[in-house]
Amino acid sequence: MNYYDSIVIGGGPAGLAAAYQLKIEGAKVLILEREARLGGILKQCIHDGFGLIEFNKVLTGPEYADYFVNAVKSTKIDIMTKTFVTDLIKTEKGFHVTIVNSQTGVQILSCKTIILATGCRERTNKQLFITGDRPAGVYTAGTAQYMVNIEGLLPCNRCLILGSGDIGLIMARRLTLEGAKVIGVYEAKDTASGLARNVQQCLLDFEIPIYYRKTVIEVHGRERLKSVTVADVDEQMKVIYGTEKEVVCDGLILSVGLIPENEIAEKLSVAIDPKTNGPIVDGQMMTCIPGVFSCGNALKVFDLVDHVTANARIAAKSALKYIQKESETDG
Amino acid sequence: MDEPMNRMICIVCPKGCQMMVQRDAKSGSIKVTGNACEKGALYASEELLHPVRTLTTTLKTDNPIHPRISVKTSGAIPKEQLIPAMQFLNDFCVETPVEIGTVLVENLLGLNVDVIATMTLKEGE
Repeated sequence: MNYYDSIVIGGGPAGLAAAYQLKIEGAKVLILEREARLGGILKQCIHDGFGLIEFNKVLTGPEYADYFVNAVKSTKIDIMTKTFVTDLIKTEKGFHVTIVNSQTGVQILSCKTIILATGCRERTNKQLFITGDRPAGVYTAGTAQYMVNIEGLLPCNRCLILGSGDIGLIMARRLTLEGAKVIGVYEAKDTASGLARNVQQCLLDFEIPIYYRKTVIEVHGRERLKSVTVADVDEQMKVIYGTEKEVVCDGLILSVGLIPENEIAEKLSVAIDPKTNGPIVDGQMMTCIPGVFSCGNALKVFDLVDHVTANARIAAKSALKYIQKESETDG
Repeated sequence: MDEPMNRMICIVCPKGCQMMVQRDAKSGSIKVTGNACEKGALYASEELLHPVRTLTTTLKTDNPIHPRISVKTSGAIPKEQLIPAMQFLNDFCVETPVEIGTVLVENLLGLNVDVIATMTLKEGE
């Protein structure tokens, strides 16, 4: 059976930084990535603004990813792409990780530590209780970003953005540059949740309005989105009836929050913090299961990838200490 | 006599400093307050006189698995040139493989900046 000091689940910015740190300090490491390419969400974040802390210069997402992918590849870390983790089991000396891919089929790997670097997911319209039809044209900002930047498709011609998270603001600019009309950003709170600089360079630069204390309550259209109903909300974010208005659009882009992804962590009964939706960890990023570490957006949603990188290094160093301590007890 | 006070949000870093920018009508000198660093002051002056932005976008490729390649301008371009630049770049198709940093379009619209690849695109990867 293949044995590793550490198996890193996820090949995005957190997984790459953790794996690199573990490897250069002498650990035997494997990265498991379900996509064909390493880099995670950075691959589709083609805008700049990354790396100011880590590299003291402004980089785009793909450039930031490229640095860490090259660093990882130069150290000859074992990497398995297009590979899914289906099970995690605690054993006497560590863990068994069940994986599946098209090359080797189902395989069980053994390791001393696990780094959970599975990133986060976007909140969808199902979690927002928007009622109405189920037409095409309703996308999360990240899905729209994937369609535009990776697939080269324009998801809509005339759209409304619900929520003012950073990806929503970035997509307002991106869709405008690609020729779509962005009617406006609707935010239920009275401040933007994204960074101030993104309000400037993504909305104000293109004269895209942002409406506060407004939300979308219903979508209309059978095959394709035809319009949405917007309404005012009060300070408790409750809809004020009588203020409903119909807005004609063929796209609704949702940027209403990110949730750490920890489905695989549940296999080990890792305790989750209901506030962050990420695992409860000690100051060194170890979860309640000794030998299981969490970092990056799987732990909590970070504003900046630079902070994800720094956080992943802490988890890696902590895992190294744990590996050393365990080998001493064994030997 | 000072010209009117301009309120600005700095876009140089994630901090997003709220700055006040004012130009002296006679001397032309620009006074910036609220900035946390020198980069902010430089941005504010540029923004007052002639706003510029780095353009990040994608170009078409000849690779069926990866139909787009991410690119950026090698320097900032005037804000009003962003949309003309996008329209101009619509017609380009990039031959792969391409290494990160490769110049794909030289001297974009005569603005003295190039369009460069921000990713490496190889066959089958």
